[in-house]
Amino acid sequence: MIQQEASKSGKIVIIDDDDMINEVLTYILEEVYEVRSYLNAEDAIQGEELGKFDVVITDVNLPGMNGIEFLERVQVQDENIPVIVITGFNDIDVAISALKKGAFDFILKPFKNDQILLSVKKAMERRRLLLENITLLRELREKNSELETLNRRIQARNFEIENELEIASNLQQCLFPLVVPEIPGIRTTLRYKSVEKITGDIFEFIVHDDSRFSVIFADVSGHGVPAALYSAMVKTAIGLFVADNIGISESMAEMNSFLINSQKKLSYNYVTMFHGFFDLGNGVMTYCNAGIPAPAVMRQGGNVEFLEPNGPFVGIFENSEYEEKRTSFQEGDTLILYTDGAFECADAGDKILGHSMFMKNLRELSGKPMEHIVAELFLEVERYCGSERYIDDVTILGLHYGE
Amino acid sequence: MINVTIEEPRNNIIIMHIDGEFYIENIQKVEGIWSEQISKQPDVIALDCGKLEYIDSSAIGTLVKFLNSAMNKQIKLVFYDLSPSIGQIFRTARLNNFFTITTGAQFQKEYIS
Repeated sequence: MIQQEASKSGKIVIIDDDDMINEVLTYILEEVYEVRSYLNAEDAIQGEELGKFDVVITDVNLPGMNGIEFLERVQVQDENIPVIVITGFNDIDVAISALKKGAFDFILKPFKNDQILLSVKKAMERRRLLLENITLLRELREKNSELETLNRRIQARNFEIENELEIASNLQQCLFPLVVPEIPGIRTTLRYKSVEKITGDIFEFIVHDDSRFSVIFADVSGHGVPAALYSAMVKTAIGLFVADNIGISESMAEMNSFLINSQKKLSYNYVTMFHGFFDLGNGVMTYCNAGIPAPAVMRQGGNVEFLEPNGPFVGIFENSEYEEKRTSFQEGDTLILYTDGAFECADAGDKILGHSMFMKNLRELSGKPMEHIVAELFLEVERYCGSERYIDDVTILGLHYGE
Repeated sequence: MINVTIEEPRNNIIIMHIDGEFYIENIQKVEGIWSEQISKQPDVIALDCGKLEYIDSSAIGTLVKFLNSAMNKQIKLVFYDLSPSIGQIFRTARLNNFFTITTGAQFQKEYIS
């Protein structure tokens, strides 16, 4: 064995039973590479750790294990080590067979120095690229593994959030049951759809006695969890300030102050609210509309009157003042309340239905039974925007005066 | 999608030109731009709403927040060129009772010229 000192850019193992060839190859390559040369394959196997060199140059015809057999031994250990086969002109078929078995190149004897240098250079480059590829693949696998871990964590967190939303939704339904109390002389119907599991649309009936009740219909700004939490505050405000001995103007002003003070100006949620006080004895509804889109009074005779907003949103400006209005109901009249989600829905081309169109649809339904009106209005939203394209919660509530 | 560009036509006057739809998902972006402007301590900040196409309920809350922060810093907040539909929303909310709302031409005349 002839051993050369370590060089700069890669390690080459040379095997040739011709001493002179070994010396020539070593001479050509040792300036650039670390070169170790052997006279037979068995010595190379004994002297080297297979897989710990970068390129092999081997004669095909060797005493004992031949060059092709050595090639196969190297490939078992590391298939990414390029093997250059050197052979005489008469053994060209053997060289081609070596290529088929995975040799990187073959060189016929006699060879030129440049031929050897070029072939080794290409083999080294191939080796470098293969090793780089292996490193990159390993890094990619590691990153993929990290991503999979993160993805599993996100899925687990999503699952937790879904569960929490489900719980919040159940709690919200306890706070705001989607059932309307039995009120003698009033028939009610409700349709709703929320964008998320929890909603910012709320309503409440407070029955004061056999002939008087209040209906609160409200839409909290935003949607999702913040809107739902804020709606719990609104519920508290309603519980505190809606009573038969508190006038509507005063009640609205108190709720406004309560909601502003509760937020301590840290957030800017607010609620649009319709507050109606029905006296079934005389059919008069006293109301204040703080931003709910014009509820419709659909008269039995076919006329439709809209109760336009007459007060500022609740919980937005301090010292807001709320004006009371009155309207009378006759047997057969219907009140339709709806949130802005009912007309702020967009079609496939992102065109909003719009309040005017919604009101037109309402007018066209005049004279129909209340249940039909509410169902048709709701269906129209679905028809317009598709059941999957709601951008805001939709609630439509109908109250019919008279059995 | 919203785009806000800033113009400073005169010393101590800033105009925020709002283009697009202002809703819950881009509130943070607009608030960031607002904070940068308010930190300059101008006398007047104007919101040019000529190209504001849509505003949702959360964004209205943000405008009220802007009004309060402007008032706290003695900065005059002016809205101009509201489209009819946005104007209707402001009227419904009675925001026109609290906000200074004008036209672009009037704003130019009063504050720039």
